[in-house]
Amino acid sequence: MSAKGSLAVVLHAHLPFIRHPEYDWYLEEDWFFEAVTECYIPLIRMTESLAQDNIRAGYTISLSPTLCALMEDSYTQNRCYSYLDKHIKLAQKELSLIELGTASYRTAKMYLEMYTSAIETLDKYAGNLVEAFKHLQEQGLIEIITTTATHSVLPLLAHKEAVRAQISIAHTEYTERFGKKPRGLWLPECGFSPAITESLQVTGFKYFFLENHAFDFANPRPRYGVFAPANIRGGLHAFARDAQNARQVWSASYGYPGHPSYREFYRDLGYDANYDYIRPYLHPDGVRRNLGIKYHKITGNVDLSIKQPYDPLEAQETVMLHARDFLEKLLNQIDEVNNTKGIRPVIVGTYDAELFGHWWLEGPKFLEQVLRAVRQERLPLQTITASEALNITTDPAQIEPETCTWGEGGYFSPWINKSNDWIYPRTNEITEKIIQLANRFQHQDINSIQIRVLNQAAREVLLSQSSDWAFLMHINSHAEYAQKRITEHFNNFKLLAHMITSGDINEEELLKIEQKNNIFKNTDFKIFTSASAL
Amino acid sequence: MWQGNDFWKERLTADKDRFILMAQSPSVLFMYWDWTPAKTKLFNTNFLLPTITIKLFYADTNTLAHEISLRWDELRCYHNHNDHGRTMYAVLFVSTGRNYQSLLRSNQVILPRGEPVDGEWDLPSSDSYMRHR
Repeated sequence: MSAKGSLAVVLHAHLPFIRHPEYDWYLEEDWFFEAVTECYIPLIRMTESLAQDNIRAGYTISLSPTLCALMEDSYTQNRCYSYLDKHIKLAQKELSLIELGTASYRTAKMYLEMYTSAIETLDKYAGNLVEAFKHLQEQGLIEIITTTATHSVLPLLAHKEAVRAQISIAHTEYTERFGKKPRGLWLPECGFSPAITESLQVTGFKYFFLENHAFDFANPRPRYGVFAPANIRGGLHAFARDAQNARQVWSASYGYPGHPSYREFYRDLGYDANYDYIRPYLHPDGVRRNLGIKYHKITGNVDLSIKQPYDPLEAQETVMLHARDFLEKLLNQIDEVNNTKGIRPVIVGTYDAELFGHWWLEGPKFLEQVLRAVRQERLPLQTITASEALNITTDPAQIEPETCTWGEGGYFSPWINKSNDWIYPRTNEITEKIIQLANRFQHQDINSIQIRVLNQAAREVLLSQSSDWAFLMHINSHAEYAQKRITEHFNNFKLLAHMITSGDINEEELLKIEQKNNIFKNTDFKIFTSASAL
Repeated sequence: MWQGNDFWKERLTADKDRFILMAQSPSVLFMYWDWTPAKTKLFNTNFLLPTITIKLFYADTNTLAHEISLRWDELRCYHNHNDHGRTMYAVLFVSTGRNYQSLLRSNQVILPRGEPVDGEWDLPSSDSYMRHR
């Protein structure tokens, strides 16, 4: 049956650049290990599994430059292996203590398989998951796109030089990493304003994604709404997320992830188990924390203490029902757009990748089932990448989208409020300074150590601009860590700026900072010069 | 909620005087200003009056849109307005009591045209940062 429309699944995978080799362990590093185990590897294995059955997954995934740097870093790889080794031991111990044939036994077995398969996948790609995704792209199974260098919300950058640096570095990093130029750019937090359009155009990206109200309030409003990409200017296109499709998938209150049979995120063995039993698997400080092994299902809107046992078999049945429901609704929606607008719509479903597997344990299975059913049941829709969606788009509407983010309220309040606004004087100050330094030193005959100082200063500015720090403060989660990071990058920059302007360079201190914040090895401070800023 | 107020105090000894506008939403402008130690001293010694005036202008017509009076050391302000879609800039005025003069001019900001968006936003758990939409 020919396709009446298309589904473009777009996953945004991102973690901030967190590595602390100066400590034996560091709590916030766990985010990477959890995401690798519960999300990225299950997605990779899902894509491989579909390919074995001659089903092309055909989704688009944005891998942030900071996440790629963590994936490629031998330090984080080694710590990830240690994390998995410890979890395998715990899962084995659990399995040995639970009665065979019970739901809890199946759950423990599921975790053991998840951890052991994570090791297998890491081994297959020499510990580097960038290689895994690259391999999938080279096989034509997925499309990888990128996002700004350190996941900066571009409209919040006060200097055009900074906007250009964030985008250009993303482009360069992608090209070096994946051996081809990127076509798509994920705007962090879907943060867009018309002021950044020119910077997006000159860097060579072909498309990006917006929240649906960017189209609703666009000038003019696109005739096909969010169901077709629109032309912005100069060969640049924008897709808008379909709110109906999105909410079904990500909303814990209204969507699939909140179903009673799915795994409960908030009840964890790290708190449930006897302390002496669990102590060897906690961090050295001995504080109870989530360990990732969870034996309960959501059950309903009840207290955590009375949640019922989770059963992977029951959850799998629900996955099948939800995939069926999702596709039925999608096909109905496509029919409606066919009838009302006379086009074959492109339904864009954009999600944080970490939803799939980490928050919603069953998410990768759901996605797999959706992609499998489209092909096996010969449904009248196709799953396509964003580039493929652009290729089949004829005569796109010419619009100027409205400012947007996908954050609460639709604009910038999660990133500018009384919990986090103090960061902007700092980030703007050091951004202004790096621009001045770049302009001053770009044509000067400076030695290799001076260049290293300037390049590291540029890295510190970039790292300070991550949207993550403001967001953590906003939600009051790891706010102290976020505050420390802003302060660290600000102080590092000031120290480096002093070194370069005074001529008093402390090589030992420079090396220490370089080794700690070792992202973007090919960064050239001249990326911040004003000459080519738009 | 964690406020970061101590961090604002540091802006009383900034490397230069600055005045920046940012659009928080279609109807809220965020603005902040930095003072150098020299300027802080002028306020602390009462050479400059403690009340500053911020005048917001429409950039296309250079006409006055709003006027706000604040203490010099508040260092930030959230201003509600109904100027969706307009391009704005602001000028910060100080006074010695006898003289009233413009001291800092801000950047220009294009305010979003739209309206605040209703919807549901899921927040991450307290022990893990990874979030989803």
